Amino acid sequence: MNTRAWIAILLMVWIPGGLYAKTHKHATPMSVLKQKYLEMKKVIKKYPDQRVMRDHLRQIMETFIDYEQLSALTLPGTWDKLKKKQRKEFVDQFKQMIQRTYVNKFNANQKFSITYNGKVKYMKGGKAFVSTTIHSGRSEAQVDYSFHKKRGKWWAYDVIIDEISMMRKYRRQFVRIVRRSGFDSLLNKIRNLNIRRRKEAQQQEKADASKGAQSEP
Amino acid sequence: MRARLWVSWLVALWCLVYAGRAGARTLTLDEAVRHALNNSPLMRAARYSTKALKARLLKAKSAQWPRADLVGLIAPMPAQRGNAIKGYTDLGQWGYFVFTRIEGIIPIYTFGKISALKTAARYGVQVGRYREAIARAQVVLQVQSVYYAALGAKAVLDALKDGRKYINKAGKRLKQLEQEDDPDFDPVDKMKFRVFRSQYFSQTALAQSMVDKALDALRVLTGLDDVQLPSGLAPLAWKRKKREYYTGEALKHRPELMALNAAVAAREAQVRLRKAAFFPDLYVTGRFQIGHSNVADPQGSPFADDPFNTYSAAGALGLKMDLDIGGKVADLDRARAELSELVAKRDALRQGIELQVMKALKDIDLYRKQLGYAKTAMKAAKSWAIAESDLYDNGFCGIKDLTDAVVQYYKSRFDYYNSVARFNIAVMRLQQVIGNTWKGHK
Repeated sequence: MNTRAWIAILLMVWIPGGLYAKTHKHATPMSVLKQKYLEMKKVIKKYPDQRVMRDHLRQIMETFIDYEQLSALTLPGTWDKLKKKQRKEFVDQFKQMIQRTYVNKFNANQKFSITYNGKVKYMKGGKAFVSTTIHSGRSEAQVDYSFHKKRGKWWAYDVIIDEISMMRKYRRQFVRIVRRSGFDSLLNKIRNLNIRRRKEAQQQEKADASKGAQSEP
Repeated sequence: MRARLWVSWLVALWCLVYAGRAGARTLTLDEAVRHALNNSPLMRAARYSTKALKARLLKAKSAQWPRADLVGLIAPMPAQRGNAIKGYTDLGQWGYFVFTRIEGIIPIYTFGKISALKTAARYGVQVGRYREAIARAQVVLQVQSVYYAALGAKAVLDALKDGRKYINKAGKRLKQLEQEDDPDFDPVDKMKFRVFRSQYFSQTALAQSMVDKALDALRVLTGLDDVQLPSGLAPLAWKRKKREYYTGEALKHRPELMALNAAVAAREAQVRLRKAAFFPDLYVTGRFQIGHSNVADPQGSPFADDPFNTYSAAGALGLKMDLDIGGKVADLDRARAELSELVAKRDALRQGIELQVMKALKDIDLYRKQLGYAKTAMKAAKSWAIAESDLYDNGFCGIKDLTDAVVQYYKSRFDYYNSVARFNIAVMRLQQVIGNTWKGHK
């Protein structure tokens, strides 16, 4: 390979990498949030099918919520003692539960608007806080986000809806269960719940499909 | 053919039902007030009362105009023959007798009686108009109160209906836990849930009844058969000013006070009228009469009274006076006492208005505070209910935690809408207290 070819390869690798680094360097929690809300709005508008829309919303949540950090914070004193495999499964099960709970609140074609309340509040330890208000119809809710920086990118690790922190809400319950019956019991509970809800969703889908088939001429 | 006929009948019936539904109109507050004002018997009574007072004014005005009496008659009569010394009635011959008399009087000077009478009547009309304004303010406040109470009840009902999903969700989950014999299932939870659900239905029935009652009241007030209420109830935008401002406005614009001011002016004119009654009326009077019969002999002598063949005209300057001095003194005393009574009533109303302004402002202040607290409570209870609902959904809290939160949420919503309705009605009451005429709501 001659020198020109090496330079070309180096440029190909370096230029996109540099651009990526520049984009993330200038991203702020606010810009991340604005971008995600925009994506969510597009998804809600684009997909009239509730199931497809919710699947896409889950994918968006994956790209800006740090479920690992959220899981670690809900299990103070326990997380550090868990094995890598246990952590992985807990994060996976907890994520399913969280996504189902929050994504199910969205409906296809639901119109909503967002007001950003003030600027980003940067805190010690590379943390930041963004406050928003979501307006939908006549109702509104204050939805705040706690961010932290991980691998050069801002991730939300807690969502506070009308002053109730998702992380703290579950932390209280999880700590109680772990103290009473241990971590495995908690994991089993969440795992069983997810299985049950998945079955229910499948049954609902079947029922909807048979309804649709009946209504067709 | 028969089938087609049936279809067309069904379509016609559907159209009728649909048209009937479309007829139910969503009533805004402005429309409700307008319809109520047109429909109000109180307003009609006040308008007729003013009409009667206007007629009195017309009569008072007519006192300055010349007045005349006209007498005319025609009759058959037997012939009257001869003269005043020697005459007879001839029943064998009949003829006619015609007679006309006009008497007139023109007041020249009455020592202020006519102008006092006119002034009293003119102020009487003003009293009538202010009474209309009082009736109007009463109707407006009545409609506003009923309307806001209705909106409050409807908002509570809508909220309760909206909360049905929580009941269904909780019931479904309990059933599922029971069916699966889940260790999380507690049979006592089933009873707790039953109590909660019954309370919910009872509250919904109560709210529905409140809405129905308020709608009935609106229908009666507006005279509209089918009315619907818009959704949502928000507090009115209201900025507090100093109490002195409201008192000043009330003293300037309150129709009750304006009516009493006019009544006092009318009584003052009455007193002037009673004083003038001690003086005579100066007038010019005139009289013309003509009598004729074709069967009565004319009397040659000017000293003989001959009503059957007469022709006369006369004019004179006259003076008239009632000498019942005792009665006049009594009338004047009575008019003065009635004037003093009205002045005292006006002073009492002024004091009352100050108290009413103070009370209305205190009510608004209280309801605004309560509104603030209710809003905070509602917001907190909503967050609480959503959080418990999520936890319950995921099996991390019991039915009691959920129902406690949901009950508090609906209770706080009930309090909030009640507070909004009370606040809005209090603002409207203040408007009435300061005599703000209704010009439509923003």
